[in-house]
Amino acid sequence: MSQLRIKGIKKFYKKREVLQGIDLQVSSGKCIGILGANGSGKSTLLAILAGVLKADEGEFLWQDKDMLKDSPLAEKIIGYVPQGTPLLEELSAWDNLLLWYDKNRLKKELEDGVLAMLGINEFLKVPVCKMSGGMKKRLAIGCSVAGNPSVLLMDEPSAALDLQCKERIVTYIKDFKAHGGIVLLATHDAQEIEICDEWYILKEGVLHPYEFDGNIHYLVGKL
Amino acid sequence: MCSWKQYLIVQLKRVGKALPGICLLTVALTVSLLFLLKAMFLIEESKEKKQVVEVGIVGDLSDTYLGIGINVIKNMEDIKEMANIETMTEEEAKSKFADGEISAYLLVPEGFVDSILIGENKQLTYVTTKSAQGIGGILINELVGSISRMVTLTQNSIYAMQSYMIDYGKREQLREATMDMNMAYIEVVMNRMGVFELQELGISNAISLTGHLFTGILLLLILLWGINSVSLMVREEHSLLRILHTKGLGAKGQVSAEVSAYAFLQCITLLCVFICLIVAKTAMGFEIKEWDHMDFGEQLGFMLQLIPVVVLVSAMQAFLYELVTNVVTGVLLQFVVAVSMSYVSGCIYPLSFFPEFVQVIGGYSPIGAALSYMQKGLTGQNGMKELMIIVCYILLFGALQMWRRNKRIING
Repeated sequence: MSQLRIKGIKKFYKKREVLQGIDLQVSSGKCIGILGANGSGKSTLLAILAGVLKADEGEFLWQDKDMLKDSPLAEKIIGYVPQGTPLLEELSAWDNLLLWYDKNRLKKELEDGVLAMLGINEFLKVPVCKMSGGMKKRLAIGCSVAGNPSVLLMDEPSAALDLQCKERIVTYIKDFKAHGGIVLLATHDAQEIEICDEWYILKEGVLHPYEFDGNIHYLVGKL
Repeated sequence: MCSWKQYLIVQLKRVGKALPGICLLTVALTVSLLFLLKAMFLIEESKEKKQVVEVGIVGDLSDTYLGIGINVIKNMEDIKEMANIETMTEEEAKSKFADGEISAYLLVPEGFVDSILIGENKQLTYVTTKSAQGIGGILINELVGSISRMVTLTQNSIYAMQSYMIDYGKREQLREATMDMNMAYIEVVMNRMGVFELQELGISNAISLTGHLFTGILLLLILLWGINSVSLMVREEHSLLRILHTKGLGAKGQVSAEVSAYAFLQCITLLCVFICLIVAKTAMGFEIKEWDHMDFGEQLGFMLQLIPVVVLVSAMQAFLYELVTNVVTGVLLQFVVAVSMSYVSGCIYPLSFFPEFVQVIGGYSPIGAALSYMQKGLTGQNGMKELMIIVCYILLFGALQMWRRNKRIING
């Protein structure tokens, strides 16, 4: 049985129906790639699932409980990595992490947990305003997974990052999956597309299943 | 999971990082404005010393006693320092008035003396422009009013005395008595006694001019030093707000924590300004009547009383920063709002100088209420009404910012 189900999510912007009833079922340990052209509604879908935007219709079920109506459950289950850098620029990585972790857990995660895997130790005392794009993105992911979420919603996590940094993020996603986590990944990146287990193209508000065979040129034509 | 307390601590950390720079800028700004204040005081003092108002007197001056009376007034020590009174024809007066050579003229109507003799005072007419507003205009009005009263009263008394002497058969002593009376008036002038009292007009809330300038400039300072925090307050991106929202810290929690930290920062800068004021007052020799009458504890109490004003300004500025997404626009917006609001609220010129509707709007504006509250605090009056208005504005700005924050979270 699928742990996570999206049922009939609809979203209107004025009279325009941006999402026309999105349905999806995902089992544990899977990464779902949501592909689509710019403006197709990928970020809107993830923002709705994260609880930032309100859906006009539909449900987002975790073990048959609707997380769109149960905010405390959603806070516990979902980790959300939006586009941009959700960080406080003046503060160091350590101070930013303290917003999400208590001190003891933070130390432990930095030693041998998820934060160690993301390599955050390397720039722990550096203020965010002096970090590279890759450092910022890794730190943002580190912040998002503070509550040990079971579902990770990632909106183009490795956009504009160098190969080394992309590799680190991809490794983290693989590890997250291996521990039974579910990832919904909105992406344009070939490397990220390859780690997904299922692919969907969001076009004109409808989610179409897609069999990715490694041919990026063919995929581009489909978007 | 992110709690309100954690977010507040993080915001306080941000404030702590920015504090040294902001304090330094605030001190620099305060010192500059104190020099400006000192310069304004010096200019006012020098104007008071140097400015002599030119006033014309026209009309029927043929009566001997009236002529003597006006000459006496012209030569009074008090008046000589303030005004140069010149007799002239009405045409001359109109022409000089149009050229700006005289500020006003006093018209003695035809038959003025006769009207006094029959007990019906004809009014002296004082001609000036509507634009003669401000302290200068008020002083001219007072001066000319005093002259009018003196002319009328002295004439009245001389002629009343003459009527009395004639009626009671003392005609032979009339000349001597008239001379005595004129001498008595002249003696009063020569002895430099205060023949007339120039009423000192209060600016507002029974505060002195320097007290008004002090509170006005202090409030302007509080408004301006918020610009120093622009990099701390302007958000160019919204993703953190969105994540906080998904983790249970919505617009309400975010705004209340941010404004609390910002208000704390502003209170620290208020302390810096207080120290600057104490030092500058000693070094520059400011004289602020209301402040000088306070002991140190009362002065500190007055500064603590300003905390609601600081919170109000913080809430207002936080809301304004919420409206913009880049630093340059943020600075411009804060500067324009600070200058325009302080102007219409009476920080620069007292509200009594403005048209009535501006006085009403200015008085009930956030900065107008804050200024009135500060002035009442300085003069030891009860500012509870103003405090209530300030609290309402704090809640209003908080609510507006929360509404705007919610929009930003949802719309990005």
